[in-house]
Amino acid sequence: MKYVLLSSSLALISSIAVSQEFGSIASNVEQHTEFHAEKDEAAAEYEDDSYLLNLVKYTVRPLNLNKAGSDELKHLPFLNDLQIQSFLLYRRLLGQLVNIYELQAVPYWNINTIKQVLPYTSLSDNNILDNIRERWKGGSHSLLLRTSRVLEKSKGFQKSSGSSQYPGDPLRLYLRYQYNYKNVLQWGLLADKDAGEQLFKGAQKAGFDFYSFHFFLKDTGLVKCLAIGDYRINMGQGLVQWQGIAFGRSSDMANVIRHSQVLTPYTAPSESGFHRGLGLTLQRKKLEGTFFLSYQKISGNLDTDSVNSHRYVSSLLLSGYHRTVGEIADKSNINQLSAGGTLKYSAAKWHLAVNAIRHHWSAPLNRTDKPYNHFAAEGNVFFNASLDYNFVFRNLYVFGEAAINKPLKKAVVNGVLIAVDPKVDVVFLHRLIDKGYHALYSNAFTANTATVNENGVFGGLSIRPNPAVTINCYSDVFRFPWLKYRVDAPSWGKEYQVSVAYKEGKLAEIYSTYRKQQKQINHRGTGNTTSVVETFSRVNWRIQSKIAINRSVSFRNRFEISRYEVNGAGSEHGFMAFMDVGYKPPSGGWSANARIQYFETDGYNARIYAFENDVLYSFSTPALFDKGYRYYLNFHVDCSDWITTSGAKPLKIDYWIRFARTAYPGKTSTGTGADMIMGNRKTEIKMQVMLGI
Amino acid sequence: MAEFYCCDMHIVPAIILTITAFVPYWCPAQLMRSPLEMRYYGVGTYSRNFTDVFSIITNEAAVTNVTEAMAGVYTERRYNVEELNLCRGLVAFPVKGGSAAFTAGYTGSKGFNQSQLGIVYGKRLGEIADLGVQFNYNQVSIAGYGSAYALNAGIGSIFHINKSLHTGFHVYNLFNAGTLPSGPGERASTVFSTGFGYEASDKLFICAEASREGNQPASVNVALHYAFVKQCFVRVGMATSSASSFAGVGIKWQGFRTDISATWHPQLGFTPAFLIAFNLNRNQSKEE
Repeated sequence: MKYVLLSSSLALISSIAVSQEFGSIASNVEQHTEFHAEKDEAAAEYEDDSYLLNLVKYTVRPLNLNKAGSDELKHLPFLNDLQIQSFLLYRRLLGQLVNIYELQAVPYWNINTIKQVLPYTSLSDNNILDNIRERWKGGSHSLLLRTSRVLEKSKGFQKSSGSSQYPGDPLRLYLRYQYNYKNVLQWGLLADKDAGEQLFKGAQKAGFDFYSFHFFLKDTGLVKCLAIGDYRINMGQGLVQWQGIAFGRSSDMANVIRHSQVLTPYTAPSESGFHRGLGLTLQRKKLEGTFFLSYQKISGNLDTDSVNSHRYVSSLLLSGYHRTVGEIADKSNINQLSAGGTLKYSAAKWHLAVNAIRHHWSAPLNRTDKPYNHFAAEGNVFFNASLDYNFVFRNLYVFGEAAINKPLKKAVVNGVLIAVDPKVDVVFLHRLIDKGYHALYSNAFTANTATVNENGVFGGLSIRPNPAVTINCYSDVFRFPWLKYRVDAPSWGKEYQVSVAYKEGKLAEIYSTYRKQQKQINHRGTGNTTSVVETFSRVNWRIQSKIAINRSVSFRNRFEISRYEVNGAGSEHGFMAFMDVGYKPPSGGWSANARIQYFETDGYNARIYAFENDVLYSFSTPALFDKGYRYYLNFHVDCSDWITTSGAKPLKIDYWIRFARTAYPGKTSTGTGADMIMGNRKTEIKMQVMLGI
Repeated sequence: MAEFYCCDMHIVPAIILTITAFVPYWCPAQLMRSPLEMRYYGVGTYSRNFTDVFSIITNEAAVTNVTEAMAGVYTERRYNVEELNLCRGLVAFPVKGGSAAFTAGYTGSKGFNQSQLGIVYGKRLGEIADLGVQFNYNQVSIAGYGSAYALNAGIGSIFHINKSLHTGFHVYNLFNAGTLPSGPGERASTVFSTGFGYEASDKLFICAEASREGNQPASVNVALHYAFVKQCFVRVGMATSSASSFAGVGIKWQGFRTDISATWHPQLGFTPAFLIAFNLNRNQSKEE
C-alpha cells in the first residue's frame, strides 16, 4: 500500500486548530487531499507541512486585517482573489475596520468565508514594524521531534535482499527547530532521515540524510522579503515556476487561481521542490521586484553515452529516499544553478508582471528514446519567461499568464472568476500548453500531473442558497495533443463533479460528492498481443457526515463506492466505509481520536483514498485497495502543566502518539519490491514531541 | 446552539458498546437473508416521530426511541413463493439506562430454512446521538444435511441534527467478511448502510439510504411516509439495486397498528406483506 503524505494539500484547511484534533479539518480539505493524492499517484511519496505551519502561526498570532496586504491575505487559502481585491478596495475607500462584524459589508464576502477567516485574523493594532531588537528577541522558539516506524520487517530490511537491501534501521526521524516573530522574522533548521537510511554512517556520514536551513525577513523598509538558505519561488499562474501549494481541478474558487507571494521560506522535509541560496524582494510604491540566485545538488541517475562517453541525466530521483545502493549512487550528483526574477507593477485593481527563470545543470538531461518523449525537455539549460496579469472589473476577476520556454514553445492560461450573485460564483479557465513546452518547477492548473501537452476548458459553479447549504460543481474537458506515458496516441478526457454540503453550525457537517472522470489509456484486451488506446471511466460517490454531539465527543462516518471501467473490458468495483470517534475532555489537557475502516475493491484501479488524522503537522491519505480493515488511534497530551518553569516565558510541551494498522485477511504478503512484508498486516507507530517557548 | 450540548451522557458505556460490537464471532453459515432494498418496515428509522418498533431491524440505535413496551409481527410471502415465506417478531421495552429489544425471525420451508434470535440494546447520548448494538444467533437448516449456526453482532448510530434532519450509520457483522481459515464454510455477509431522514412536517417524512451487503453493488433506496389523516398513512419507496418498489397503507388506533403492503420486482413479481404492531402499555395507548 502506498501512503502519500500531502501537506501542501492542507492549503485549504479552513478550520485546523493548533492541535489538529479530530473534527477540526474541513471536509473540503479532506476531499482535496484525496483527489490530489489520486492525481499524483505516479509521483513518489512526498511531504510538506509548510502551509499548515503558516496557518498554525496565524492561530497563535492572528493576521491583522487592518494591516494585511495582498500577500498576507493569500496565506488564507479559503479567500479567492476577487474577495481579496474586494477587501483591499473596501479598506482603501472606507478606512480601517472598526469591528469584525464590518466584514459582512465587504462585497463578495459571505458568512461562510467570514467564519473561515475569523480564527486566523484580528483587528488588533500590533505594529508589524517593531524595532529590530524586538524582532530578534521577542519571537517564539519551537523544537519538534517526530519518529515513526513500521513494526513488520519488510524485505528491504532482510539481509538476503542483495542490492535492494536497506542498510539503515526502519526508524524514521524528523527534527525541526524554528524561531518566528510575527511571521516577519523567522529562521529554522530541520533534519530528516527516512526509514532504511543510515545515521552518522555509511552514505549518511554527516548524520541525517537531509538538512535544510532557512532565514526569512519581511517588511523592512525597501526590502519586502529577504530569504537566505532554502526558499520557494512562485510566479504567475504556475506556468514558469510554482513550488508552493497548488491544487488541481476543483469547484472551490480559491483553488482554481494560483495566488501566493513570490518568495516564501521553505520549512518542509521534502528533498525537492525548493531553491537554495539567496532571494530578495524589493518594493517601492507600486513596483515590486524579486530576484533570486540558487545553487543546489539534486538527485538523479547519471548514465554514460557509449558513443562519446559523455555523462547525461536519464532520470530524476524526487522521492528523497537514499537507502539502496542505487538510490545512494543517484544522490546529489547533479549541480543545479538557477537564477531568475519577477518585476511586477500593481495598481489598485490590476497588476502586470514579467517573470523569467533559467536553470543550468552540470549534465544534460536525456530522456529514453520513446515516442512519448519526443517533445520532452532535454539539454542542460532550461529557460522560461512569462507575462502574468490580473484585473478586477465590477464583479469580474480576470487572470492569466502567457509563457515561453527555450525552444520558444508557448503556454497560455486565462481565466475569469465572476460573482454573478451574492449566492453564486462562477469560474472559467482555459489553458493551452504546447506539447513542446516544459518548465522544471511548473505547476499550473492542469489535468496532467505535469504542465505540458494539454488543451482544456474548466468551468466551476458554487451556489449557496442559504448559509447552511453549499452546492459546488465543476466540469473539465481536455485534450492531450501528443502521446503520454502509457497512452500511445493523442488522447482526450473529461471530468465532472457535483457536491452538496450541509452545515448545521458547529454541530454537523454532511456532504455528498459524485465525481466521474474519463481518460484514455493503453489497454491490452484478452487474447490481444498489442495494446490499443481505450477510454476508461472512474466514478466515485461518497456520503460523509461529521457530527459533534457535544463539545467533547464527535463522530464521523463515510460511505463510498467506486467503479472503474475500460470500454468493453469489464469493470472493477470498490467500496469503503469508516467510522471515526473523537474525544476531547472539557478540561482540555489531552485528546484522542480513532478510526475503524473497511475496504474492498476488485483491483487497484478501483482504489479509494481516505484522508486520515495524524499527529500535528502530519497526515496521510492512503490508497485503499483489495480487501481489508484499517484502524488507527491518535493520542495527544499537553504536558506543559507537568513541568514548572521558573523563567518568565512558559515552556509548552506537547506529546503525540499514533498507532495504525492495516490487515488484509487471506493475503500472504503486502507491498511490493523491497517494501514487501510477508504477512497480512502492516502496523505503524508514530511519536512526536514538540517544545515551545 | 447551547441546547445541543447536553451533558447527560456517559461516554464509557458508549465506548464499551462500540468495542463489543466489533468483537469477531465465528460464523460458518450464511445469514438470514437481509436484502439490500430498504424494507417497508424500515422507512421511519432515521427520524424522531416516524420511527417504530420495526426500525430496530434497520438500525439498532432506533431502539432508543422505545419509551414504553411495544411489540410487532411482520410477515411476507416473497414473490408469492410459499418456500420464501418470512416472519419477523419483536418485543421492545425501556430498561434502566436505555432501551432493549428481543427479535426473532424465520424464513424458508422444511427443506431449507433460516432462523434468527437477537437481542438489542440502545442508549441515548445526550439530545443528539443514539447508539445501539445487537447480538444475533443465526441458524441454517437443510433437510438431509443438518444445521449450522453463526453468532454475529452489529452496531448502529442515529444522529438528530435538528428537529427535521436525521442521519445514521449501521454496520453489521464487520469482521466476518473473509473466508474461513478452517474450511470452505459460507460466511455471513457484512452490511454497511448510511441513511438520512427529513421530517418535512408531522405528516410527511422523506428518507434515503445507501447500503451495501457482501460483495454486491451498493444500493440507494428512497422512500416517503405520508399520513393523510392522523390514523392512516401511506408509504412508498424504491431501491436501485433490484429496481424494485413498494407501497403500503397503515392504520393506527389506540396503540394498535396494522399495515398491508406489497413490493414489486420487475422480473420476480409481487411480494405481499402484512404487519401488526401494538403498544403493550394500554393506559398510554388509550390516551392517544
